[in-house]
Amino acid sequence: MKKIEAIIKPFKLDDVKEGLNEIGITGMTISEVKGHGRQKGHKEIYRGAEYVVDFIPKIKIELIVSADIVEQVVEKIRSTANTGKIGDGKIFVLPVEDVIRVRTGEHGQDAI
Amino acid sequence: METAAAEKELIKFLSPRQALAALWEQGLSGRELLTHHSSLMDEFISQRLFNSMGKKPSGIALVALGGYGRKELFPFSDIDLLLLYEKNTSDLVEQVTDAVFYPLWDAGLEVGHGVRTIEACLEDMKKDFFFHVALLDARLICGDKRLFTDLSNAFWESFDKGSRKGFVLDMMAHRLERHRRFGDHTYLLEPNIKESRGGLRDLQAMFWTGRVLFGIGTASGFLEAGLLDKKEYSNLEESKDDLIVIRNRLHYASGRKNDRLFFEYQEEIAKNLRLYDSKQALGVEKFMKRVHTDLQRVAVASDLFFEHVDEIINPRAVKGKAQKIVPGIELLDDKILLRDGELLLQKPYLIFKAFSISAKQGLPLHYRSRKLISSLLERLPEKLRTSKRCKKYFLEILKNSHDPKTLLQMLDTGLMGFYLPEFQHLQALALHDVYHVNTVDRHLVETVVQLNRLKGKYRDIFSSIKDEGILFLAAFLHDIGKGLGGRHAKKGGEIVGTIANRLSLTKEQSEELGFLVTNHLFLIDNATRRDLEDETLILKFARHIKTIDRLKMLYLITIADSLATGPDVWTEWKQALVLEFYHKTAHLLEQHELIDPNRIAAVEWMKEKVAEIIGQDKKPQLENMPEDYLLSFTPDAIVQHLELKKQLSKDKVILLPEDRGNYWSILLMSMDRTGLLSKICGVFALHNLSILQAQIFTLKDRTVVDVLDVGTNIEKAFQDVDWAQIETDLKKALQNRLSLSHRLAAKFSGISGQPHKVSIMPQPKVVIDNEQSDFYTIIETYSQDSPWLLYNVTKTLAEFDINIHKAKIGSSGDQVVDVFYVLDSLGERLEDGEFTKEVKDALLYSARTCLI
Repeated sequence: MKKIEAIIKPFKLDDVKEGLNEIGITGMTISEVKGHGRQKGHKEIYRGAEYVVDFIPKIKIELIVSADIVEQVVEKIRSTANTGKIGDGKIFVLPVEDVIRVRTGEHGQDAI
Repeated sequence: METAAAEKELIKFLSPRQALAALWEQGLSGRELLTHHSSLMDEFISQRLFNSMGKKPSGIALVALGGYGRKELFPFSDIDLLLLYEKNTSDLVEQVTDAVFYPLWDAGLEVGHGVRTIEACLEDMKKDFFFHVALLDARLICGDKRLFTDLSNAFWESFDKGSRKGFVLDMMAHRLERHRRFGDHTYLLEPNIKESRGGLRDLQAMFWTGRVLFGIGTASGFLEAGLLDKKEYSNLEESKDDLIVIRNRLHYASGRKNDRLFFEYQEEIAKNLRLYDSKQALGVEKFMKRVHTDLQRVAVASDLFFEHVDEIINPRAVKGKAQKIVPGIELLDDKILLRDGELLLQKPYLIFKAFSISAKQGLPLHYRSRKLISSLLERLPEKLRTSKRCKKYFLEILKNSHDPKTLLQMLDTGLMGFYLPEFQHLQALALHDVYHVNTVDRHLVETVVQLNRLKGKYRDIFSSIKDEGILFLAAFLHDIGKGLGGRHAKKGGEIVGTIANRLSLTKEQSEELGFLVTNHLFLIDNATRRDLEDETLILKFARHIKTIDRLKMLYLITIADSLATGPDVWTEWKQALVLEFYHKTAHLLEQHELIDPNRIAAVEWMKEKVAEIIGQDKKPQLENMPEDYLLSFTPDAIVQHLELKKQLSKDKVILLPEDRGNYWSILLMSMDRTGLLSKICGVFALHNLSILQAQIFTLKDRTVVDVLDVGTNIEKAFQDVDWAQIETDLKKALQNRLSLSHRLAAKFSGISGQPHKVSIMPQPKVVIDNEQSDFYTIIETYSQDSPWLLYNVTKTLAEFDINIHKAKIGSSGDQVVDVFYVLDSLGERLEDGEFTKEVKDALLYSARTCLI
């Protein structure tokens, strides 16, 4: 089992979710996160007062999948989240020791 | 006690309980269930005592306290018992506790117990407020009646000795503390129907206080004494009954003493009570509306009651004198007072004026005045709703509510529901999500308050808004479409039309109001879900909103709405996105030519004309085409481009020259890449073509469409130009198989007979601008013409890996003016100061060093 974490542009969330649904994945955790990177934050001068937002709003998607479909899932996320411009994000794949379902106590594959 | 017998007792006791559950299933509910439960418990306890002592014991009494004393024993309530004894019966105590308490504990019941003499009771109640309160409801279960009467007398006598006031003050303090503890937003979503504001505790607090102060401890007693009027009384009884029913079900659903309406219990109980999902509302929403209505009624009644009590035990109000504000409205002790019911019926606008003063001064209305208003509601004239005076006061109230009190009092008295009938269905309406912590009516009040509080931080924006009244009206009415099924924003827009008419708003005001309510989610939805780097999209948004005034109002409403929805809804994350949306849209709205309806019409006309030729089904293809591009060509030309586009591939270039007499117009199409323009310029220069004017467009799919008006540097006729060779050279250059630098150097050194020498031209100018557009950096170069110029400049940009998205090349007088819309290699604007300087210096150099 692997954990996939993807940082993507907020407006791409629906596309990514749809794409994942298409390959049978419906369960995931989504959070609003602040990104810092090469992409520049929004800066605006309005009536002399400067508004600087020093982070870029991003969405983080987390999901656990079995190892045999990792590549497929990663590629699906990558292709649906892609705009070709800077700030498209990154995907991380992490190893997972165990997954337990709270309601039933099931472990491992059965709990995904 | 032998084990077998103990077991028998246990079973005998449990079965009444199970019988109770069975009875409940069959429909015994509400107060009946409680009294029945109490009776069963009384019977058991009396039986136990009798078994143990044989006959009627003297000097020993078993007393029920608290809820049990009131005969309000809920299914899983604690059983509050007091074992009363005298000094000379202290040896019997152990026998009684064995007989009565242990079986109860063994049966798993929660038994609160005390074993005391009368003296001990009187001592302890001075130290323990809750014990003191529990004694208020003391009731003899079984045992020595005289002993109990002695306790009772002593207890009530203690009050005569002047501790009444202290007790009531304690009661009120505990009530406030309880409201604080059980009042945060999580309790709004999942109320504790005993301890939350408006819960059963508040009712009990009323009656305890009533007994101590007035000797009246029942609702009917209150009614008789004039502490409640008929309507308040019936509401209160109804709500009390309902809360009891709900609490019973909650205890059974939880299987334990739980008073918190957690979400899963909400759904379960809604089903039990046969409240099912419908188009308008979920079953659970119907249920929670009922719960919140009950809680509200009790809350309002107890608030009014305790304000009354406060006045009685705090003499300052009696000593103070009422000051007249205007005829009919007085100020008493920092509260606004309306006394004359008949006057209010004659001049009902005074009620609104009073609330307006209340909002402006931050002073609440006196509880008597609120009761008075409620009692007059049915007799108020309908024309109050269309009164211009009331409208004026109402807007004043909205614009001055920095504190929710005034608006909440208008809600609680029922005045708001009378004035705006559309508001009535929002009362106590709780939507089933974890997001909105308030019922809708309260959320709208909170939105107005938050909006007022934004005035400091957003002063600039507020000061430039044309009609603040409309802003605040929109904020107050934005969710008025909720609870009616369907999309609430759109519905709300329709409803406010009716309200606008009634309030005699102008047509313009009515339109603005309707727009704001219908679109109150526009900013937040699009900021978080759409690509804010897409200029075409932002332009679409700008055109939808149409004016910067509307944008500002929507912006403020968006923030206030978020703040009023719940804690942590308005996060920095959301703020960043909404701010970006706001600024980009505002910027476009300031460029009037973009919003000019003529321009919009022209673009639409063009799209339609093209669609007529290519087929309506293909029209969506045109959505992504830049408007500048669409407005620069005829429909036929655009159709031609679409056709040609199909032939394009990575290395292919389409070159279509046209003779226009004085100049030649070349249509060039290719796939975009960095350095493309510089290569085009270089090849043209190689072939003695000088670019007089050009328009460079890049379409969304990376197709480049360039129209270059060229002239020739040498005497050559159009038909003699080797266009095929030019096309070939261009292709080679794109494949990086042609070195333009050395070819050009070779060519031009040949002509002048000397190796090319650097010659300084009169001062060129380069401007790098990030203000005009939010989506591109605009680079403008001003210089004298030369065949090399454009090649030099574009080559320099290519060296920096700067991508030219759009360009206009032309001249102004004797100067060549080139405007480039660019982005860097990462697709961002050139904002790094150092980098920008480097680019500027390089461009200046390249503009200066040219060959004549």
